Amino acid sequence: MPDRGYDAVVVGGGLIGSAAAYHLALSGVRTLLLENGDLASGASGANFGLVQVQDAEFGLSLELTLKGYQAFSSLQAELDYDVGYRRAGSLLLIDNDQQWSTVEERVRRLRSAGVDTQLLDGEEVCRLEPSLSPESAIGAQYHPDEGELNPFKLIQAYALRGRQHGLEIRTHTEVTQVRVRAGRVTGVDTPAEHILAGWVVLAAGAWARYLGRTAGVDLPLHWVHGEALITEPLGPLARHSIGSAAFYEATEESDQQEVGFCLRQRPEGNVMVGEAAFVTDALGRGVTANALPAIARQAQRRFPALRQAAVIRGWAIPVAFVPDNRPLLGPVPEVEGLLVATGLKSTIVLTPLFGALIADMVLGREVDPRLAEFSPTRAVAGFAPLA
Amino acid sequence: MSESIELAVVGAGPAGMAAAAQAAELGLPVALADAFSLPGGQYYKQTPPALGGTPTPDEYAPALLAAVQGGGVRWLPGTSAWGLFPESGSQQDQADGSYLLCLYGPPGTPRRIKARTVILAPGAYDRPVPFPGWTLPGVMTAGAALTMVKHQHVLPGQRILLSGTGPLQLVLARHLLEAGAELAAILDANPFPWRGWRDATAVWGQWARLREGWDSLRAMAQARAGIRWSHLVWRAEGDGRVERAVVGPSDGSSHEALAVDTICLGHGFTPAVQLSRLAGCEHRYDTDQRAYIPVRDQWLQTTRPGLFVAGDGAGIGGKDVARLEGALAALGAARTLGRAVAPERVASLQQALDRQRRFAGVLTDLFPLSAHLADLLTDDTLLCRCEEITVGQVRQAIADGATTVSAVRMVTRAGMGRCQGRMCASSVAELLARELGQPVEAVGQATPRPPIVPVPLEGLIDEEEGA
Repeated sequence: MPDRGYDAVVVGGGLIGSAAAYHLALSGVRTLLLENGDLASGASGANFGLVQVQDAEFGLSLELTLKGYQAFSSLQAELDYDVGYRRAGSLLLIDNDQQWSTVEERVRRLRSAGVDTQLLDGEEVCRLEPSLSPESAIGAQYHPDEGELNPFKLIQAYALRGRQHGLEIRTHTEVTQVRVRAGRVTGVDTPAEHILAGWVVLAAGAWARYLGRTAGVDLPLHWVHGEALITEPLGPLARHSIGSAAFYEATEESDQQEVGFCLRQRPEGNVMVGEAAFVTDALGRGVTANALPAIARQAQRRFPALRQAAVIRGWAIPVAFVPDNRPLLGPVPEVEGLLVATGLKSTIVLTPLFGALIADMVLGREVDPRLAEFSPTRAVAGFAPLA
Repeated sequence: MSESIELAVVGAGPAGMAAAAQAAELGLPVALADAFSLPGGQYYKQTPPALGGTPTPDEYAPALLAAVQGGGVRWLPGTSAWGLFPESGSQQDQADGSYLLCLYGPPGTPRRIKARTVILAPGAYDRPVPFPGWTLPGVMTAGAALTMVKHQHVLPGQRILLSGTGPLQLVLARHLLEAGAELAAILDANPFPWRGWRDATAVWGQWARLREGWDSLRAMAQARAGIRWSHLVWRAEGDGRVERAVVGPSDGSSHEALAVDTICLGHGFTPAVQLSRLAGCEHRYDTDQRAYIPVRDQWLQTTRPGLFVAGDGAGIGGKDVARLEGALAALGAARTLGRAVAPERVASLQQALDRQRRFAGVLTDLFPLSAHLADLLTDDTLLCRCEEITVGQVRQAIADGATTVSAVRMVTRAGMGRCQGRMCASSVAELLARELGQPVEAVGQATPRPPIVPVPLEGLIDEEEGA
């Protein structure tokens, strides 16, 4: 450790943390990235790798999402690393008339905002995805070139390139406390030492709430225990990444298991299917006994050809979300030098952009003043503070 | 379909059969599941009657096989156990244990069994040892070769090289010779076990084993097939299948090419700890066996109340240790369930176990996993067969900062295939430890995830549908 510590300590070696650390190092900021496990060992490494656009919230989120999406066309070249990016397109399946009218309205608004999204009827959907059961959808919201990538590789690319610009990375290092003195961050504690830092960036996903608490801040984060499964490599089954429009239907937060549907076939042929989720306050990683049967039922109803496909594992991870569906991004007004970036609804598409924005904020560069609406200590309806 | 039962036993080798037989004798309702269609496991493997049946493996097997197929045991053949979950809310305060065992078997098999106690007897699998050319057709494990020649009455090849360590190689050699194969050579990675004489007292009384060893040595002498001690196979070569093996002393001082069509690898076994790890039992790394094994008390109970592990799945001990442990674990489960257990029975089992464990310990000591095996790896040697990841790719991941088996897995995909790392995780761990200069236990291990064995999607559903 340098005598004077670091200019910035980033906590969390996932998508946002590694992108932020890379951009900070690139700007000449002496940066340390701390990760409790291995890089990508949280929700950032346990997702389907989708670069999503058409499910964005309207307003600033959508504007940033479109900007973030554009960054992907040059990202591999910038990082000089193959992250497996390709534009496969996506379908959000519509189950009923109510979803149809919601999607119809969304498509109209998205198109006027410049998003290349369309409403397809059931027949058109089955032409695009012949393995899909005709009974399983009355239509879909379609984006012909939404992207996908390998999230492990993206994080690895940021880590490798960051190191080339002086970034230090320590994995298997737990942060136990964010140190604050007289309203200003002074650094972080690990079990072994006190690390001095001018800035502390919390990008620890579901774990960020506990870390925020050590600095006296209760971040408006809840989390779900999300579970999914993957099959052995199969022949061509699905060309697009496939989701369900059901998630537009407002649901009450509940600790009961909810089963949504999403499916993506990896380029290697494995089919990932999700997801079962319940709201939890325990940060466990265990697959639960009821999740796999629930996902399997959904999968074989939508794609009958999957019935005999060998499932080779399931996985589970806590995922942070903010009840108002907008991310936490920006400085904590009460604690100078503390910055939070987590709780994104669809993380990958915003990763390059948020990484650059965090560096801008740390360096005091001017950023869009409207980002104040993502302030990490804003009032969030439906948020239950810690006791 | 879901059932409730007092005791569920997973694995019908000597440990699982002995557990089920002992439980049935005590009148405990017990279910026994095994992935194979006939009970016996590896040690007491049975040949289907159509293939001529099986000669009695030893004096204990007939009674165990009869008990399993008799009325006192709910026998579930052809049934894989893919998940084991402590019942929710019962993590801390559970007194007698209660588990959900997820199964996949033929139509009519329950898919869920709720068991108050569980005995895992999963056995072990051949330790995979990668070297250049090990994925060529014609390279196989000693265990697979033994099954072929002994039970399927098929010779794996005509001119065969055996490479590995320990007495299983002798047994395999004898069966191959008796079936008419030619042995190109028998290589043992370890030096001749002179120091075994120090352990004469542990061997005293092991007459059946000594007899088997003597028979094997005599058959080998007649075939003029000697053992080359401290030797390894360095490379397998051939066009589309094995045609040559390059062999030599384990220090790499010289090499010689042998014309062979088959190479059998017998570097010992690795306990199958996937279910016990999935259930959250504490495990420790055993430096002698170079494997993780579950922590157990004197009743063979794990750190999860009501969950026991018996046999090779808790450390390689052989069939007699397995059989005795199975019976002891059943008594432990009975005790947990509040049944009376005769102290004399416990004492005599423990006494017999001590004796058998001493013998097993001698074998582990004399025939350890050779440190020279790591010297065999070249950058283009395949390490993960499922995802086709090479040693070079793993070394690159380590150079790029990976310090654990999971980190290597995420960056390279080694261990993400259908075997969940059974074939490669220990090799990745050994390679990491060597490259980083760390002990193997510092680099982590593969995480078992349900289903721990591949299951058809529809088989995960708790109720059979349609069909």
